[in-house]
Amino acid sequence: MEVIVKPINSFLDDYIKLGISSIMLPLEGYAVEYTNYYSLDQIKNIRRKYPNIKLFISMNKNLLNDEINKVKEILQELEKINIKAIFFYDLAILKLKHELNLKIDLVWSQTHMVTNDKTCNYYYEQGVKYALLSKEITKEEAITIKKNSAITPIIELISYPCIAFSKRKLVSNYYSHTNQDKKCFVDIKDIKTKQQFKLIENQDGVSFIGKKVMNGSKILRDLLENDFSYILLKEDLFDHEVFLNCLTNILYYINNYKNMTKEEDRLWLKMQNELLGRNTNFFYRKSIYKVK
Amino acid sequence: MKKIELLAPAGDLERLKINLLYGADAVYIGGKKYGLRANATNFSIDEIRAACTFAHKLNKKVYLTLNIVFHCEDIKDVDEYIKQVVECGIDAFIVSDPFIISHIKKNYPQVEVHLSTQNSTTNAKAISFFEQAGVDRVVLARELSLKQIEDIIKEVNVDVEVFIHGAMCTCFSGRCALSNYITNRDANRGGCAQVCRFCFKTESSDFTMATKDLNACRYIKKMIEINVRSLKIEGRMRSIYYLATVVGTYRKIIDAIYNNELTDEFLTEQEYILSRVANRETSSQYLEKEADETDQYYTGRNEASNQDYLGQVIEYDKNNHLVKIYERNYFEVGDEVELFTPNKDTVVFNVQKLLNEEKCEVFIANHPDNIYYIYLDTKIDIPPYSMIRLIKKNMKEDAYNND
Repeated sequence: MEVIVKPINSFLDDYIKLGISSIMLPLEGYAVEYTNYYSLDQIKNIRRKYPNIKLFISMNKNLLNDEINKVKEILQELEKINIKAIFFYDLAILKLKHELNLKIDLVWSQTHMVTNDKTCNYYYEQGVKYALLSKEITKEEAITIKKNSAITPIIELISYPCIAFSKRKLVSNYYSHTNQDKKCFVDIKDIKTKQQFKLIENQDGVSFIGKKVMNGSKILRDLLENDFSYILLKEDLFDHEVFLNCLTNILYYINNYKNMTKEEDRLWLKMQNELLGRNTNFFYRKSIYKVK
Repeated sequence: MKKIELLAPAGDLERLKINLLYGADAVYIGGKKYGLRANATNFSIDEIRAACTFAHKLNKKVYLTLNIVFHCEDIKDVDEYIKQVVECGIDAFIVSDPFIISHIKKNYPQVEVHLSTQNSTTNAKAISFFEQAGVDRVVLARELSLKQIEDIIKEVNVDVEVFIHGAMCTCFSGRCALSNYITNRDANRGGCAQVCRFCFKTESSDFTMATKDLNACRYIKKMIEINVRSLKIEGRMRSIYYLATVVGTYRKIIDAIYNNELTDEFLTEQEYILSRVANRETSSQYLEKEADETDQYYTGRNEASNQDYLGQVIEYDKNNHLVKIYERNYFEVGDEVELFTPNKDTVVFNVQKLLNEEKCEVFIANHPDNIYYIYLDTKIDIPPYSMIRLIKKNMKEDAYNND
C-alpha cells in the first residue's frame, strides 16, 4: 500500500525521510477544497527537485467555458513532466484526455459522488485508472467497490475533511455585513451539534472544512487485508509535527501489521486515537435519507 | 424553431394536473425511489402511469428524477424500476450518474435522458462528454451567468435547460455534504436537511448563508433568444397555489414574448404577482453578475407564510352564479379578491355574498378546509382548479372588528 500525502508546503524532505514516495499537489486556480495551492511553476520546480517522487496533481474545480483552453495547455505541460495522475472533478478533463490522446492517468475525484462499484467501472472503461472514494461511505461500501470494480480505489484515510464547496463569497459577505476587517476565513459552529467548520475563501469560492479530524486508522487493517493500493493523508489544518507523527505511525503499521498481535493492534490504535481523536467519520455510520 | 419549454415541479398527482392546466409544457416528478426529494409524497408506479396518461392527453410530457448519487445498495434493483417506469410511458429520466445514463440509453433508446443539475455542469466540454454518453439534454449548474449559458449553447448539440425560479442551494449541487455531517441525512440521496438555512455561530456573532430565491422573469426573453430549450421551475414540495401562480405567470410571460406583446408594464405586473406568492425575497442570483452579499440572508431562516390564497374552485353554478370553493385562508364579505383560471382568465371582484356548505349566508369564511359558495356573476368560463386570491382586505370591516 502506498501513502499519498497532500502537504502544506513545498518542502518535501520531511515526508521523503519517512519513506513517502507519493505526493498530491493542488494546482492553483484549478483546484478547490484545500488550504494551499501550487502554481504550475512550483510544481515543475518540485518535479525537478524531487525527480523520484510520484506526483499526483489535483485539478478538481468546476471549470468554466473560458478556462478550457488554458486547461488544455496545462494538461499538455503536465504530460511532459512525468505526472503520475490528475485528480479531476469536471468531466471536461476526461474529455480532453480523450481528445488530446494524453497518456496521463486520471483519478475520478468527484468528492461526495464516488459511491458505487458500477459507476467506478463505467469510468474505468472510459480510461480512468483511479477513483478517490467518497468520505461519506462506509468501510463495507469501500470494500465492495474494491472487490467489484476494476478501478484502483484511493481512500482518504486521515484529514480534516472538506464537506462542501460554494461559489459564493460567503466569508467576504460575512465580514462586510458585520463591518469587520476582511479575512479569507471564518470559523463557524453549528449550535445544536457543536460541530465546527472552517470556511476558507479564495477567488473560486468557499471551501467548508470540518474542524474534527477524520481518523480512519481503525479501518487500516481491513484496507490492507483487502489489497487496497492507496490511501490519502491530507495535512491541511494539521500541526506539522502532529501530522508527521501520524504519518510515522501509519507507515509503521503498513510495514508491520502482518506480524502484529491483537494487543499490539489495540495499542497502536490507542496511540493514533490519542493523537487524532476517535472520529471515524462515516466508515462505521450509514447516513439516512428517508426520514420516518 | 421549437417554442421554449416551461417545465414545472410536481410532488403529487394533483400538483401535476395544476401545473399542466396552468400552462406547463412538461412536469418533472419523483418516484418512490431514487429521487432527490426522498421526503416528498412522490409517485407510485400506478401514479406515474396516471401522470403520463394525463399529460399525454394534453400533448405534454412527464420526466422522472432518478438523480440520487447511487450507493452500491441502491443500484441493485434499479434495472427493474427503470423498466417499470418506461412501461408507464415516461418521456425522460433526469439522471446524474453516467452509469445509469448508459444503462438507460442502451436498453431504452426511445426514452430521453436529461443530465441533472446535481452534476453542476458549467462548460461545453463536459457536456460533450455526456453527449457522447447519450444524454439528450443538460440541466446547467445554477452558478452560471446568462453570457456563460449563451457561450455554452453555441458550442453544444444537446438541449440546454436552465433554472428560472425558486430556491437556490448555497453550495454547488452535488458538492455539499453539510446535511450528512450535521444531521446524518444524505443530501445526495434525497435527504437534504437544508442545513445551509440554519443559523451558525462565529466567535462574535451569528453566521448565516441562506440564499434568496431565484426569479428570472426579466430574463426569459433573453433566454429564448439564446436558444435555451427548457425553463425549469424549482419546488416539488410547493403548494398548489404557489405552482398555479408561478406556472401561470411564466406561461403568460412566454406567450407575451412569442406574441410580441411583452411590455415593461406587463412584466412589472407579473413580477408583482410572483412577489405576492413568494415566501422569500428573490434575486437574479448569478444570471447578471456573480452572486454577492445582496443575494443572501443574514438572519437565518427568513420565510414569510402567505395568506393570500383563499381557496380552490370546485365548480361554478352558472345558473345561480355560485362559485363552490374549498377554503384555505380566512376571508370575509367586502374583501377584494381575484379569481384566476387555468385558461389565463382573471376576474377581480368584491365578495358580496358568501354561503357556507349548507348554503346559509355567512359574513366570514374562517374554517379552512371547509366548503363555501361565493356569489359571482361573470361570463368567463370557471373550470375546476381555478383559484381565488386576496387582493385587498375589507379595511372598513377590519376596523370594525378591531374596535
